[in-house]
Amino acid sequence: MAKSLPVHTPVETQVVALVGNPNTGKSTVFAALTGIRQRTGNYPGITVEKRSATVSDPERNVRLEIIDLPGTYSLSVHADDEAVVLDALLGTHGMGPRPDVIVAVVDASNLRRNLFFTTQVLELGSPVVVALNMIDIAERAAIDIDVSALSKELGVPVVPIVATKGEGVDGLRDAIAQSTSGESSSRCQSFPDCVCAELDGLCASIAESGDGNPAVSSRAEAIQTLLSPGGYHESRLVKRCGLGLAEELSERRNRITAAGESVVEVEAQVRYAWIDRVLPSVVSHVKRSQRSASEIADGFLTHRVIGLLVLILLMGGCFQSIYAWTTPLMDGIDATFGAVSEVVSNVMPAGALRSLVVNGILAGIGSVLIFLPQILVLFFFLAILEDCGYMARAAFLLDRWMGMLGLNGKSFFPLLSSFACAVPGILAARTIESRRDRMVTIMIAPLMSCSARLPVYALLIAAFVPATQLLGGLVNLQALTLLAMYSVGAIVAVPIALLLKKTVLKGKPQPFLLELPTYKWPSPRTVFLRVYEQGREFCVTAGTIIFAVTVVIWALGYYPRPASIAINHQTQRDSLTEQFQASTTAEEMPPEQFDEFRSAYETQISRLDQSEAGAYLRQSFLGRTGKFFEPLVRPLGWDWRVGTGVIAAFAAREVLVATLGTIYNLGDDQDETSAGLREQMKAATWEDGRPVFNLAVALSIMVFFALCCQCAATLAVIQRETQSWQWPMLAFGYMTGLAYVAALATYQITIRLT
Amino acid sequence: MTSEPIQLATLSRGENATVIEITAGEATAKRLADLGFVRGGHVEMIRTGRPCLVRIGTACIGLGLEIQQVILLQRDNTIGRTAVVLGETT
Repeated sequence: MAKSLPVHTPVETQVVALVGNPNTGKSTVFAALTGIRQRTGNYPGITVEKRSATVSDPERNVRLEIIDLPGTYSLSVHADDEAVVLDALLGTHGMGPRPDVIVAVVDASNLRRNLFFTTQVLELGSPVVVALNMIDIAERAAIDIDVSALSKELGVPVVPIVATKGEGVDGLRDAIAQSTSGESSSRCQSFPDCVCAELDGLCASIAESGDGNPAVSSRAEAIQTLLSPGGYHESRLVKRCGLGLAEELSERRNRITAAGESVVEVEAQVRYAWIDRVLPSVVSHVKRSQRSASEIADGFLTHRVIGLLVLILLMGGCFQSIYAWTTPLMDGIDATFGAVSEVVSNVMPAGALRSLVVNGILAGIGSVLIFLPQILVLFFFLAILEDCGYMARAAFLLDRWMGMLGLNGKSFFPLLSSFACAVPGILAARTIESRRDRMVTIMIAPLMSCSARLPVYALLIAAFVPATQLLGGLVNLQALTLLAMYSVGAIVAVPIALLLKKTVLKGKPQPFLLELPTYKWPSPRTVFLRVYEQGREFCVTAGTIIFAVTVVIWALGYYPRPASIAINHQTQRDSLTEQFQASTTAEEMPPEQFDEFRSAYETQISRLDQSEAGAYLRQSFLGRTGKFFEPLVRPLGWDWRVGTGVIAAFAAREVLVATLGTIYNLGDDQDETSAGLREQMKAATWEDGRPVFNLAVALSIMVFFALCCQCAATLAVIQRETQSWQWPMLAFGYMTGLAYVAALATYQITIRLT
Repeated sequence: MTSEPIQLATLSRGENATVIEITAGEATAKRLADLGFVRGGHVEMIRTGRPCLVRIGTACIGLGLEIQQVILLQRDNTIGRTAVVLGETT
């Protein structure tokens, strides 16, 4: 039934769902249709990312809410993130309204495999538009597609596009706008009679359970339930309709098997048979060139030795660039915040408010924002590697090594993402079908060195690791230390994963099954969007959680301010001034001697100021807590201020830098805010005058942060993903213990070697 | 005379073969089927090892050892025998 809308009615928002196989450039199509107006959220109850954007198109008189669904090879699924797709397309299980149009993104150079999923989508009873993406790559591979013939066979509009270049996107918009009031697709594959009978019977049973879905949805759901034993839809439907359905399903499957059909293969046989019948009239290989560029590249890049070497060089190059490219930017940000602080210090009267603004807010935000460049560059590299198709090769190459941990290559994506942030990494673990592999991946993901640790590393490395050039200037010792810090978590993860597999997570490993997509040039738009999203997220985090924590920490370190300290120090100051005045005015003295006296006097006064600030901080709420824990952290070479910083960074690691900034600013001369945290840390001393920080202490702090699980967001996501408190508690417990022991060992060993 | 189906793992680089049977559990079998690994599907070995790399249709897929062992094939240079075996199983 066509829904015909009068032209002048106010436009209703139409829901457009974007689906497709992984690596079809779906996100690029989404970006091409929506620009950067997208918002991300979660599907209700589960943590699969929901990306959507509302686009007004007055030219075509439509308003569209475009939803980007996770990439999937089939509607029958065993992993949670793919399960979202069928629910969202049918509008079932609280996944929002049924879409008005489904856009199936298809990789033109891999038509046969992509059409399998397309034929499933055509049976859902919604209008469908096929976006034939990467048509340029297909042309280069000498694949010639007759678009109108394909459209006729599928019974829906087919629009050839090159999403990376924006080619054909207007045509796609036209087709979507026309389809919002168009016919639903009606191309259904006919299954063998014995299967059809069982499908009809199952549809009737589902209808009796009374969930009120239209019959055609029930058929799609029935196919995915009946023909995918043990799959997601079966377990959920059984939950909904009771155990009677489980028995019914097994009887129906037995009858299909008895009739000589394979339950798990029949759907693929029917669909691929149809595709193989249709394709010859649609696709012609002009000539099969000897080997495509992609195949030639894979000859090297998937090679066990050469490929692995390239992978290591690539990763090393990325980290070196992160360090080298961002230094000037970071210095710029540092200088800007220093200048702003100085202006504010001069403008505002001394007191609690100025201290809050300069030492709390500006110092806190500045010391976090300074790491934005590094985070952006890291995501820039990750986005490029992912968009060009290299990531799948990395997973392929590393599967053998991941296998030694009892994991498979698919754990590589989540773990690699965790180098940026454990939260998306843990979410990405949803693509791992085996619960056991998934749990192990989730438990070791926080060990990967995330971007929140980068501020800690960057600060300490710049301040305490000499910038020695090694190998004739090829490698910088600072960059090498950074690489070591990035590696330590990953290396420790190996025995941890094995231990988990032997103890709390016993079972069989899941087999490796992964498509390697055709290489393509990364789309600048997709890369830009990834980087922009991550940067924005980081800034929002810095601007909210970290900001709030910063202000609280500042308050804890500023209050209480007993008058006795001020009075005591003022008395000493007054007596010093009296002495100075008495001794300089009592008799005529030569100017040189006067200067000597005055500088001695000024030194004493500034020492008094510091001692006053120190006295305030020591008896502040924060200082008392840190002092309390000092005996515990002293073997790691830390003083109570570092201990205090670590406690304050419980919720988020990057807070350590902000906290240290606050503590050291408060503990120093109030007017010297522009000196920078680095210098202030170098100047910090124990009571006996030894500097607090040296290489051993810096390394010990870095190792602690490399291995600890000081991140409230990570713990919350683990809780949500595992639906239990045991796992996040285990993660926090084992990581904190590990971090403490490793930091202790690092300090004790380094102090003896240096 | 019919030859026994061979495991995917035993194919050499560059060899073509036809899928005879998938002996995996239901979940894995369904996943493989949806990717095109069904009876009669043509497979080309691109890189052997663990995991190996095969071409099926236009797609290039990496498969772990466990999966290489559950995909049973007939080498394509023995077309006559393949037909016999196919005739027997269907």
